[in-house]
Amino acid sequence: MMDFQTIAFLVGYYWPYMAGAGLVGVVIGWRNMALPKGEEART
Amino acid sequence: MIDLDHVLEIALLIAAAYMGGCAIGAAAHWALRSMRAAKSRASTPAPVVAFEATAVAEPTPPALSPAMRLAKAEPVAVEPVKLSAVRRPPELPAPRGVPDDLKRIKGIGKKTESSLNDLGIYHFHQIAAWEPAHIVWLEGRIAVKGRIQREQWVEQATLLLTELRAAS
Repeated sequence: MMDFQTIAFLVGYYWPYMAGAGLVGVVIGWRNMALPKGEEART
Repeated sequence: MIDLDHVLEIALLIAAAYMGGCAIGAAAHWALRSMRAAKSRASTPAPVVAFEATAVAEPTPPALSPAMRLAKAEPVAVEPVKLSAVRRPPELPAPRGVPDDLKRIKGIGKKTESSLNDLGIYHFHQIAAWEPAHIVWLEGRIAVKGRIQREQWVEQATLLLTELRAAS
């Protein structure tokens, strides 16, 4: 089980990767809201 | 060296960061859109159905027949006719074919038409050929003095004659 200490350590250590993932998520989320419905599914 | 025990934890944290970012991005976009919509609603006033007061056009006068138009025109001043020159207008013993509808002349009713027929006047060309001397002669008999000139019977008859000839 992850305890708070472990999580804090991992966040502190890997925060750049998490920030990057978060930014990607922001962009993806924003685009999903902006795009009309027909363009949502892209293969 | 990465501790393999924590790989899953790291992956979960990164995935959580990614999903958090998606949620933040979507929420930010939705918030911005709502703000813009509220702003545009506030800035643009409610469309007022502008009642374009169309210029009330003056009522067009009813189309007048040529005879009526002529009748409304200013009468031409006629020199007074000498009493000695007064004479009866040329008459016909009977109408040539179908008599013209003299009632089309404004001022001539059934009674006047009948009186004109009795005097041998059946057609527009006869009236169109009236001279002042004829008019003076007629005024004492079928019309009030000055009426024939005031209502321009001769001019009306000329116009109607032109119409008839154009139609035939």
